[in-house]
Amino acid sequence: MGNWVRATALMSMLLGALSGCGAGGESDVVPPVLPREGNLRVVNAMPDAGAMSSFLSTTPIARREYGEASALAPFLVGQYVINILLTPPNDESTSLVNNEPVNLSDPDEFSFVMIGPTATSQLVRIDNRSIIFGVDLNKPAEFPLPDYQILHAATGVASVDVYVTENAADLATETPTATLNFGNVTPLRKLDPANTYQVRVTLPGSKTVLFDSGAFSAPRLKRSIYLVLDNFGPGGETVRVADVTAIGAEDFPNQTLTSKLRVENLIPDAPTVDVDLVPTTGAPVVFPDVQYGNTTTQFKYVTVPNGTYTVNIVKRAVPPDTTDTLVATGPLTIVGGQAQSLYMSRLNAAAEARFIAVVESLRSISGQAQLRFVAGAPSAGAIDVYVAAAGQPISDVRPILANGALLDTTAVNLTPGSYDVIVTRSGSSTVQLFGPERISVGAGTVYNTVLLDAPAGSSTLQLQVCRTLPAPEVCL
Amino acid sequence: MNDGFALRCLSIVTAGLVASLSLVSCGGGGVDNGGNIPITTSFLRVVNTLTDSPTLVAGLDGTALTRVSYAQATGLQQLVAGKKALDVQYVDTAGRSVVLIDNEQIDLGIDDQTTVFLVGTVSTKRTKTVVNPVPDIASGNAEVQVMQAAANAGTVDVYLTDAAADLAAATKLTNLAYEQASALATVAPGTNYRLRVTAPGGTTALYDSGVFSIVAATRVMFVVVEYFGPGGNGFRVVQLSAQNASNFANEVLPAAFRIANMIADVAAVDMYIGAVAGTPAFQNVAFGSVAALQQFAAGTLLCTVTPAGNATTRLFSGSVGLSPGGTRTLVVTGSGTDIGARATVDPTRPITGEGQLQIVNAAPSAASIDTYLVAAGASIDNTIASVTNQPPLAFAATRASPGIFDVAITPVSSKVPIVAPVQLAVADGGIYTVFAADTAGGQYRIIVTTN
Repeated sequence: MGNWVRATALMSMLLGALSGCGAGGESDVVPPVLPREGNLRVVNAMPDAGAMSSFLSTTPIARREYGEASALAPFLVGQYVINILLTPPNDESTSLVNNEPVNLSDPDEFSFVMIGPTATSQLVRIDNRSIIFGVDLNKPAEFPLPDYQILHAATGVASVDVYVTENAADLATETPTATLNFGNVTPLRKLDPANTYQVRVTLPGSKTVLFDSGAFSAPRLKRSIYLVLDNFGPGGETVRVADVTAIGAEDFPNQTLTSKLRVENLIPDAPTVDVDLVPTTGAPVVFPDVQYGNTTTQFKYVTVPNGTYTVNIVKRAVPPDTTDTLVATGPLTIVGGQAQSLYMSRLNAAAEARFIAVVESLRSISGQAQLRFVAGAPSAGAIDVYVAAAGQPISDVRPILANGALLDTTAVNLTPGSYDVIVTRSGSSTVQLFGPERISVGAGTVYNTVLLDAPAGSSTLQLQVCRTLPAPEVCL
Repeated sequence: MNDGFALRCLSIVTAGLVASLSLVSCGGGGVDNGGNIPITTSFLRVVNTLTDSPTLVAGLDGTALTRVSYAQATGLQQLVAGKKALDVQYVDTAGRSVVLIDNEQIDLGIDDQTTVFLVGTVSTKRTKTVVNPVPDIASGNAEVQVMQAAANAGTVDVYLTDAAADLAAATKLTNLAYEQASALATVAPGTNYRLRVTAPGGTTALYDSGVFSIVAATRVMFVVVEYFGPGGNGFRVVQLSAQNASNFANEVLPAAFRIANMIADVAAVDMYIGAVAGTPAFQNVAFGSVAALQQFAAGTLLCTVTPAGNATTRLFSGSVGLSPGGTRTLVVTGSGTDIGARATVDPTRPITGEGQLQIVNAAPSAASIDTYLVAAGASIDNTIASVTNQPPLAFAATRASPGIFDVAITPVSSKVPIVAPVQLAVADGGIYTVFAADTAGGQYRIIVTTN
């Protein structure tokens, strides 16, 4: 809801700014002339794809990863062509949509959704009349009712039944809102903004729920595409549904997908910590005895109920200390369908500890490797991190992480091959703090790398390298 | 990780921006886009094979695009097709831009893939352009091409074979003179390829890539370049992808390795490679000295450092990865039981017009340091440090014009040297390593080696 309000406000501001055009310098009041614009977006729903870039004639629209949608963006009415490319890290672009004509007029709302595996991808083009066309944004009470349509883009199931019902309706007595084959899209349907709803997906004729959005509501002027996607979450569910709105592709706030969390202790002066996740109600989730720099034995995902928690990190007493010490506390939200890693550290024993939670990739990308880097070494200070091809000097490459502070992180996609990881003092490619450390990455793999200090605060830097996909996880 | 994609997008964004600006008109009119005009593009990259060059900056139509070091390539950049002007320059040690290629006209045809090679040396530089159509590779195939850019190799035969193939019975892929490029050849993708280079008509491999893969639907360009590392025959081959140039992971070249003993309270050390038994590979390396380079097969070496003649006391034990053709120095420093070590990667290629300096902070007791290079006898008071805030066992690189310099080392942000400066005569093309080291007496020492 908040995002929708922001989008509406943003659009109002944009319209307001643009309405200044055409106003002359005369004292007479000249009615502002609004530019005539249609709207379009692109959606990447190819389950094995990396980044997808799109261009409207020569203007970039967006670069989106799997499961992401660009915001609905206004463009001046006119005749264009749209080009959509796969843009892998090796820069060998593959054209998916080649000079598709787009004749954009002001009531238009076009969605270009790429579905299917990259090798056989197909374009689903959805042409709607914009829900905001002709709407007086100063009269919220007259806004159109919210509406939605459903697109089946999950390659793992040929057909699905989709139920869009009032919240908690008994599926046994409900008929499917739509039965869809792969690539099918429904017409738009209205919702009542006064109601709460629930989206559930089953196999055709089955009442066994594959996906459950939980309760949600939709305000006026909101239009959604309920996009059925292949799911790569930690719970192994086959499908999920993304709520594609004017903002982008969003999760349903109460979706019931399984979530998991793992924690890593990067506090050099804390050999062991306990990490407690305290929910607003119910029993806490405890990660006990998390040792410094733990990898293979302890850095494992644990299922955690979705919801909001307070994280308490307690440094375990070490003789001659007599009591455990709370070194950090803060909020954490566990979102259905996500696997998160929680990293904690601090600059020194006198400083306040803090933590970050990172959503990890559990999805292979065809022909690419994924690598995450976490700056977990307090002694390093601000750093630049380079990943250079074998034989390539860092003078020729941009850092994957620039001016990275403690617990900063970044993720990049790589062409399979050998690379050197090099860490330098920030802003100075001349002072190398670590490396080169040679790593080799394969297609479809996911790697997690963490720069950390040696235990007990030694300034010797180490790089943890773990391959998290394909399973089982292996730390090198 | 190459700048290629971003820069390519930048090119398109730039074109798009121009288009957008021309499209943004007030008054509510539509866009006259000429009726769904398709976009026509071309691809361009630049390959630097100037044997003595510093890192270059390649630009197009007056705009700097990307940096390209020796034996490296820019990413293939997608540009709006048409005529362009290529500029190549570098920044010398005085901070001045030196133009090597000045507005050289290139015509980027629609759906062409143009590779501009910079060949020769900094003083004899010229371009050699290879134009191919954008890849349209049939399913189940790949394409290869070879460019001979090593003057010292002369004319060569190039074989692309199965790894086990006998060259005497193999058919060569191409025969190339210097500055020649082969035609594109279609090959099957595979994981067991090997590329070898021989003298014309010969069967003795002067260069051997080792086993490597060719991925389906890709186009790979092999470039013969001059080689400055240990062993070999003065040239190697690098492979160009659309993103960059890289070395073959298994190329048959040795690595060079040595130890620098900077442990102030150990008069001399031995270093064993592999098992701690028998005669150490590096024997009796005195404090403050750097052992002579020895060649090893590329791979991971288990290194154990002990006091000289005392194999039972281990000062340091750890592994060092050696890449084919690489040169590394294991710097050991510290005191008592607190010994640390880290391996440098040493440059071996001279660069015309400058000296290359590697600075190693091997003085743990000094904490982080600044390093100054000033004219012999000059004060550092009004000079900016060449290297700043360098912690122990961090490495730094800097460049200097040929001349006589004083090397001074201070605590961070201080102008008070921790030890008397040391004079260094920097030769044109020289390569040096400067160590800041502790001494047994609690003082410091600057040690300079010429590589």
